[in-house]
This record gives sequence, C-alpha cells and structure tokens, in this order.
Amino acid sequence: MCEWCEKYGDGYERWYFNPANYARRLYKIRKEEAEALGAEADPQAAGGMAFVGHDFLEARERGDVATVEQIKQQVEGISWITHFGQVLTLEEALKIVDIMYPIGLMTCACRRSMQGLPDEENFTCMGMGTGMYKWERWPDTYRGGVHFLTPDESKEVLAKLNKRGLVHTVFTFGTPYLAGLCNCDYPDCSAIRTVVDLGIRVLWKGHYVAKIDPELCNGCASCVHRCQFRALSFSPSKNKAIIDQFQCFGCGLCATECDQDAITLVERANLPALANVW
Amino acid sequence: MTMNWKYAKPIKEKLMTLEEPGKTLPFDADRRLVDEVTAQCDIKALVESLKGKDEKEAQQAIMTFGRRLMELTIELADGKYIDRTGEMVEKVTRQTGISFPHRFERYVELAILASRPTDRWNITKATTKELVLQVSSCSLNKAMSEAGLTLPCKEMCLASFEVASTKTGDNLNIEMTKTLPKDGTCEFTFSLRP
Repeated sequence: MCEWCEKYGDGYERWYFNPANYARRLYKIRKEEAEALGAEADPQAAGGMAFVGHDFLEARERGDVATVEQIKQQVEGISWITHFGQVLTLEEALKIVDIMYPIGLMTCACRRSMQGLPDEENFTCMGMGTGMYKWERWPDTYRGGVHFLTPDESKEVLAKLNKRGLVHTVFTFGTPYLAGLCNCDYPDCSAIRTVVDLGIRVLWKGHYVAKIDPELCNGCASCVHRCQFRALSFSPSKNKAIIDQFQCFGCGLCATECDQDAITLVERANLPALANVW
Repeated sequence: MTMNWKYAKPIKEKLMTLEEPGKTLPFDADRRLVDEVTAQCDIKALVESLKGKDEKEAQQAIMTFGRRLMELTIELADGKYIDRTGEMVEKVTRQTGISFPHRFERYVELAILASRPTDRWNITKATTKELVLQVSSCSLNKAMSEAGLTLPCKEMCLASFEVASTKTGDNLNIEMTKTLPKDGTCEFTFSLRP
C-alpha cells in the first residue's frame, strides 16, 4: 500500500478506486465583485514539474548534492499537495472510468509543447469529474476543445491508447482530488521526464512490478521498446529480455505486448525489496 | 457499440470549442437566485409555523416546503438565473445520453445553497449509477433543535429530492443512510434503478 492509499484510500483497495477522490460539488455562490484578472487561471495544471527551475539544473551540473536534494524536496512537497500522478495498469484505468463522471477527451499539454503537435492530432488526455463542466474557464488548458465520452467509449479510447504504447496515469488537481487520466510516454510527458531524468517524484510508481519468466521469453525483444521508464533491456548473449525491477513503474505495457505471456505483473507490496520503492 | 475512434483525433461532430472566446461565463450560482429563494422559502419562518402543529400536520408542512423549495429553485435555475455550468451539464447529457448524476445533483446543490447558504455539505460519490450527498451542518435541523421541536426534518430534503428526480426523469432509489444527530452527518444515497 502506498502513502496515498493509507491517507486517502478510506477502505478501498487503492486510493484511486475511492469514488470520494473524484466527487466534488458543482457550485459555489458567485462573487459579486469582479474576480482579479487571472484568478481563474489554473496554476495546478503545470504542477510540480513547473517548479523545477534552472537553479536545480545548475546545482546538478556543479555536483552540489545538498542543494539538489533541498530543491528536490521542495518541489516534491509542493507537487504532492497540488498536482502529481501515479502510474496505472490498463485494467485499473478501465475500472476508474466506472467510478466517476463526466469524462472529457482533450488535448495533451505536454505533447503540445514537446512535439508541437497540432490540436487535431493531440487528443490523448482525459479530464474527469465536475470540473470538466467548466472547461471553458481554462481555454489554454483545453486548447482545441473537448468532447465528452461515455464510460464505454472511454474504455475503447484507453484500450487504443494502450495498444499504441502509452502509459496510463492518474493525476491530482489539489490532492486528493483526481481529475486527470493521462496517457503518457517518454520524452513527451513532462512528469515522466521529471521523474526519469531528474529523479523528482512528481509521478509515483504503480502498485505492480513486471516480472519476466526466462523460460517463456523467446527473445523477440518486442517488450523493450514499450517501456517508457528504461526498466527493460535486451541481452543478446542470453537472447532474453531483462528487467530492472527497481526502475519498473508497473504500467504493464510490456506484458500486453508479450505474445509468449512471459511477463506478469506482481504486487509491489509482496516484494519485500520493492514494497517501499515508489 | 464502438465509436471507431482514431488515435489522437477528435470526433469532429462531437467536438466542443469555445463559442465566444474571451467572454466571461457565469459558472457559479447566481446570488440573486439565493436571495429570491431565501425570501420565498425561509427556513426560520417554516420552523416558526410548525410550533403548535401536531406531528402529522407538521410533517405535511415540511414536505410542502421541500417541494416548493425545489420547484422554485428549478424554475429560477433554468430560467432567469441560468448559469453556464447548468448549460454545459445539459450539453454533455445530450452528447453522452447520460443524465445522472449531474442534472439531478445540480438542482439538489442549488436548492441547498439557495435555502441554507451557510450549511456544510459535500458530494462524496458521483458515478453514473450512484450519488452520495453528506450534510454535516444543517440550518433546518439547528433551528428545529433551538425551537425545541423534534420533527422529521428529513422530509424537507426527501420531498425536494423527489421533485428534482421527477424533473430530470431519473428513476431513483433514495435512501437516507446516515442521520445528523446520530452519525454527525445526514447522508443521502441516490441510486439509479435499473
């Protein structure tokens, strides 16, 4: 069980299966005075990733471990209160779409900035919950527009994104309120980049770890390119895929690609060495 | 039924884009709706009117109040005080074909805000099958206690919910799963009947 399940699980197997973490009021009473310009902006959308400044990179370059650690803790602290994510398996993502509503398909802000993708080729993110009824409040976040999906349609979209090789993640917008069901890859996703390249945990590992059965692995290596976290590699001498379980985020993309069923997902909590590696 | 979604593409006929870019839209509840409902459905006046009534009469009066409160709220919320959240809830319902929970939740929330703006309450579950409302501080319950009345105040909420579910057409099973005096919160669970 991760820290978030302990704090916000409320008896559910995972904190992201707790419907209370998706439910919110629709209304508050409108303020009479005009709100300050920019008050409706959405700083959380940028999240912890946006707090990683040049000072962090400079400290890393000069090998200033103390400063690096200090900034890292600050960024993680802010991120975990405001906006951070956790990796899901496809099965978990499919389960989530039945415990919240509405679901809006929208463009991905990360891919927009990294790939310069036009909006009409970038509908890979999902917004969840009552905030979606107010999407027009944040026109930049919802650039390109939004269209709403039924739970069944959402499942179809998620399955297609999974087949394509994207990692499902759930994101908070004011922890523990979960409002983003993202579909990520490296290097497009700023959260994956921040955790993989900088070691700052704005994205938590999932509750599973992949395990390879070498007897079943036929060395096709088709799983290796699916891994977005540099956990999988291929050994030409052994003709087998190899996994670094400490680096595995438990998304299961490798397992869904393996024709030999050589990869299974095991509960992180059942592996003593990994139970607290998030 | 599959919608044949193509990777990363929007479905053009379903895509919503800004209708009037740059225009400020009123997403929150209109204060005038609160003022108007409070003036016509005053909790304190209701409690005052209950004094001296026998239990059956009082219960009828509470239910009538609840029904009137919701009817007025719906009339104003869909009429002269329509807000953008409500418009979007209707648009999404048309797009997905799913009415519950938010069309119903909208009326419930607005009726509470309009008649008891200082109450503490929250939505703790909102799926397409179930909605859970918790009220941890209630003006009606408090006013009745202060007046020394031990009447079933839940009838106001239940009567108002019936009006809202009739309006939305959601066939709901409504249960009161917790009560304020006993559990520290009133909890109402609304389940869509199959």
